[in-house]
Amino acid sequence: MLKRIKKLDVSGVAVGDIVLFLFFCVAAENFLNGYNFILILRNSCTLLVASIGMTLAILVSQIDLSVGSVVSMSAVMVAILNNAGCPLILTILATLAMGALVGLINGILISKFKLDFWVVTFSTMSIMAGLALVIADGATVSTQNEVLDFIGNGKILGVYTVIWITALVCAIMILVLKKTKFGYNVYSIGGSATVAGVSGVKVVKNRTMVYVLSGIFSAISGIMIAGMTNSGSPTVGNEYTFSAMAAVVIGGTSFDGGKGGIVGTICGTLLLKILASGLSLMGIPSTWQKATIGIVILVLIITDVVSEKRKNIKGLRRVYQDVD
Amino acid sequence: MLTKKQNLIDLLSRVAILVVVVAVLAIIKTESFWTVENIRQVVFQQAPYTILMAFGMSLAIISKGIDISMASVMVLSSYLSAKFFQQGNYILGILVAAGIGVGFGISNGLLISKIKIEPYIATFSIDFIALGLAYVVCNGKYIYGFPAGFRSLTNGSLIFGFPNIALITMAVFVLLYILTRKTTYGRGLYSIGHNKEVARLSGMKVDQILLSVYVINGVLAALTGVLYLSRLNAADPSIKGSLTMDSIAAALIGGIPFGGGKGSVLNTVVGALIIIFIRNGMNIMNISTNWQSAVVGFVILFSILYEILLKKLMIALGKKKEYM
Amino acid sequence: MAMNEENVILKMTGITKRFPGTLALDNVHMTCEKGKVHVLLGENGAGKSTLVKIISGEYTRDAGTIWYDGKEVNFTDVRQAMAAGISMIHQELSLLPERTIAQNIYLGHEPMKKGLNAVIDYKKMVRDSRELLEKLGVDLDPNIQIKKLSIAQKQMVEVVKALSFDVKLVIMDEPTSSLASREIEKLFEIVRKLKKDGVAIIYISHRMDEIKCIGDCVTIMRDGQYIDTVDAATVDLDVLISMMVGRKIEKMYERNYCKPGEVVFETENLTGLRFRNVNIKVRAGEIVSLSGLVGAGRTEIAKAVFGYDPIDSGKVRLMGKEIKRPVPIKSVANGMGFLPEDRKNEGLILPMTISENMVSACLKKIFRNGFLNARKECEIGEKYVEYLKISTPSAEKTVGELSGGNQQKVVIGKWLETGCKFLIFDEPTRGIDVGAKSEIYKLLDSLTKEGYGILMISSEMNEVIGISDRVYVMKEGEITGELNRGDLTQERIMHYAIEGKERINA
Repeated sequence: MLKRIKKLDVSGVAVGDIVLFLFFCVAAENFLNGYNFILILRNSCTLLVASIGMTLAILVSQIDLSVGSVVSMSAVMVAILNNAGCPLILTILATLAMGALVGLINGILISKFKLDFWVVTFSTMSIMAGLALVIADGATVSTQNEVLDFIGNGKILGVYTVIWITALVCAIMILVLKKTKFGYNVYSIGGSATVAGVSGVKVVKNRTMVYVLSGIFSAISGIMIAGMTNSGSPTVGNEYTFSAMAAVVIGGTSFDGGKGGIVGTICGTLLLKILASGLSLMGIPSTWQKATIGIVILVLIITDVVSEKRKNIKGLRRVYQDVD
Repeated sequence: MLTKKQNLIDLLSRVAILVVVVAVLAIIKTESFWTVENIRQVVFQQAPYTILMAFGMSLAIISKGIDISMASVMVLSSYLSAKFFQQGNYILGILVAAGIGVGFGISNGLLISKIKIEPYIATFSIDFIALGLAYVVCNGKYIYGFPAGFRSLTNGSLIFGFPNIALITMAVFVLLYILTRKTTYGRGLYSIGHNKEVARLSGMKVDQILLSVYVINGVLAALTGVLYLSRLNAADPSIKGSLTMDSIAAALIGGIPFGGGKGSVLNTVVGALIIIFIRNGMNIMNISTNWQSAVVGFVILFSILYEILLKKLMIALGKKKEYM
Repeated sequence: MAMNEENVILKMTGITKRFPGTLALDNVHMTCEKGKVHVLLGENGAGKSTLVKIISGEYTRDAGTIWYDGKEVNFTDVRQAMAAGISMIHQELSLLPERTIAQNIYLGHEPMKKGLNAVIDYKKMVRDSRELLEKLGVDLDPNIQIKKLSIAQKQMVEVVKALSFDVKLVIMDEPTSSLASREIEKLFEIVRKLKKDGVAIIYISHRMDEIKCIGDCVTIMRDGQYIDTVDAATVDLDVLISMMVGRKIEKMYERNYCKPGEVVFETENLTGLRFRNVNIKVRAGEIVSLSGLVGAGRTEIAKAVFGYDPIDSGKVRLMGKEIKRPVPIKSVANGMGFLPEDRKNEGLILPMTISENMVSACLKKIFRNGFLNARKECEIGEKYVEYLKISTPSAEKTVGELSGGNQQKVVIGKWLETGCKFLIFDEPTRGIDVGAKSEIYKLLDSLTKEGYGILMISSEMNEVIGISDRVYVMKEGEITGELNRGDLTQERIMHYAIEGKERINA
């Protein structure tokens, strides 16, 4: 078992999750009860699904800054289309298509036209954030729909629907990354795009696919938010980009690419949410939480980068130790 | 010789964009836009803040980095120093503001140069923390009403026709222009932007120069914060607004691409004026502020595409010369 | 040479390829037969790698026709060439360090589960890899991560990877450059086996002994041009060399030995990332070479000494003064210069002008008050343009537009201006055409006369033998031998590089 965890390369975060959980069990009243536990899981869902897209982008050693804006846009879009009387299934499909389209634009500009991924996703980020404000006219759009409400707040077999959806998405993506050609290609491109290219991997196509998937996952996250809040706020996704990036990096997927995976991101997301829940139950005023979480994330990122550097140097050293 | 000429062509083409923007606005909204009062207002009263922030962003981008945190550092420093300015304790106010700017600048600089975290992620984290702390300090309270002496920092005009704030901005411009274009420090900065490895191997103090860039940015952010206090007569957390995005857009459209090592603060001024005039034009035409973020996003996207176009044009021009 | 038309698998005529600023291939032709090893011979920068990359679909040609397997072909990417049975063993390793051997072998053409078109059959992949490794006599477990292998082992995995699908033509780009003799023998066995199976092989190598050993015919290239194709069995090696270099070698390497002065550079039991207990001494007026196989740790020593990588233990002395924990700033200040192999990415700032690059290593020294002086900068640039005979219309041209030889001269000028006394050259003539090479050698020679001490790292045996006063040979991170000018032969160097010192004593 221990060996398995080590193999997944997430031991650090997993242990961190448990330690933090135990810490808050002692430090915060009401932390240790079933209700709070479910609440943490439920609160993790939207961020986790959005983070999966980010995980893919970081695995190919790039990034997708548009995640947060697509989340906002999707939530707003669901609310507006639903209010306009559009059937829910069409609404959801249209929202997913919007996410895919943003991803496609990102992907084509980055992999086909070789534009810098920071600037491209930064500009789609600001464009989508702006358009979300435009179509929502700057305010939260509330909406009513039974099915949508069921998606957000309903339960299947006593477990929240959002948790089912998230679990399904995670399971599928874990399998896809581990077992399929696409998953292999993602790791190969992240390891070295040149090597993958000369070995016959379709780098442009797969990178584009990564951004399309990232857009779709952000859209799913937005739909779940619309369901949970029965509304679409044009700023709801504002902090998702940063949080998703943090969750992925804390989860051990490094910016070098080709290392890490979904399991780590799940642990990373849980860590962020346990932290948030624990801090608020400890009675720390909400104004302090943002700064505290920011500092914790920064510390975790620093540890990640430093340990990654160490590992790289160790890798260089290893060569002659093995010869001995 | 060719490079100097190319740089000039590049800059002139940006000026042309500015002229086009102004001309279009002057034609469609002659009576409200094309007045001495409006132009004066835009150039001398509104533009300086964006220009000052964009200076910092440009320095970071020239060194092949980015500084997302400036706007939040600005908010925090203006908040923390507000009390002192209110009490007329200018020296302490300046010290506090500058201290915060320098402090966050050092944090950014160390994260980027020593720990080698991707500039975007490092400054994004610092942004998160600075804004979080600003919420803590603000805690829903507004600070307003400053002494007249302090307010004359922006209201008054030492030289007839030029408000003080315009003079300050000009002074900063001259200082930065000389620093970046005429000194060995500036040469180091551009070398790092072009190729950090070569700079390091040539014995340049790469880490110190990078650190200094972010410290300068912190100071610029603090300065802008103090000027905002003086202008608004209040410490207001909403001043962060879209300054980060505006200053990135200003740098990019002005001709300072993310690739690093190109452009100068002169480009920044042109770029910032383009952005400010677009915003002013949208206000005059009564376009909802919701549109502004999307429009700035499109400007960023336009500027990366424009960059490619210009590059192709330069190559074509260069070839022609060789054959003649 | 007579060719059996039926056996021809690849025929190329009039291949031309232009890169910005250089004509990499000029009207080259070549014909390969099934079951034959066709050696491609030429110095670095002769265009061999470019030519084979055109065959493998990595580059597209500007002109010329390629006939392959009876049809005219036009590969625009690697996959098409692979599908047609062309495989390439890259000179720089193309493996993913984080993935396992099996995953690397089948990278890009992973076996799929039957019926499930997108799902990879990892078990089959491991099984097939194990079979393939066994068949080719490579004793490795397919489940090991690549980063845990030695360079020679990686090279063998690279070979296996290239043979993991149905191949008709295998291109080997210097496959032995990091292999020891045992592995070389294994590789040759594989090559012979492939020959028997009717596979055509294009084999790029510098090593003359290998040509006789496994080659059937040899095509010589020089400066991007086709020179001749000869029979490997009958050709005289000296003739080959003169065809490759294009003139008598004596003229190529000019070395006026001068009496060495005091020690300018010294290491004592230096141990770092990929080397151990290294003791090196360089005197003023000396050219000392570090030789050995690729991956023996030569470049790593240079980089550690200059402060690029950390040092674990040992001492570095410059002009008798110990430099503790070297970093580039200190090394430059103490009179050391480093000319990296990868000039374009580590030696020069390509978008900047010649003058700007010339002053870049000593800004503080030239502009004492901290302000730039365009006139002074220009003067320095022009001084070196003249002194080093850099061919450019003016010192205000960007270095990106210069040829490889002229770029190297700019790097040399950059270090001369700092007033340093000790220079490290890492592959000083890589990517430089023959004419410029001899100029660089003359320059090195004249520098030693002015009292510079030079440490050179080179993979070109001719170069090492041609201009070195002393040679340290390395094997697997240790110095295994030291040879003086009088004792320098290719055989002796290779002996230390491949066998190490133990065998010599025995």
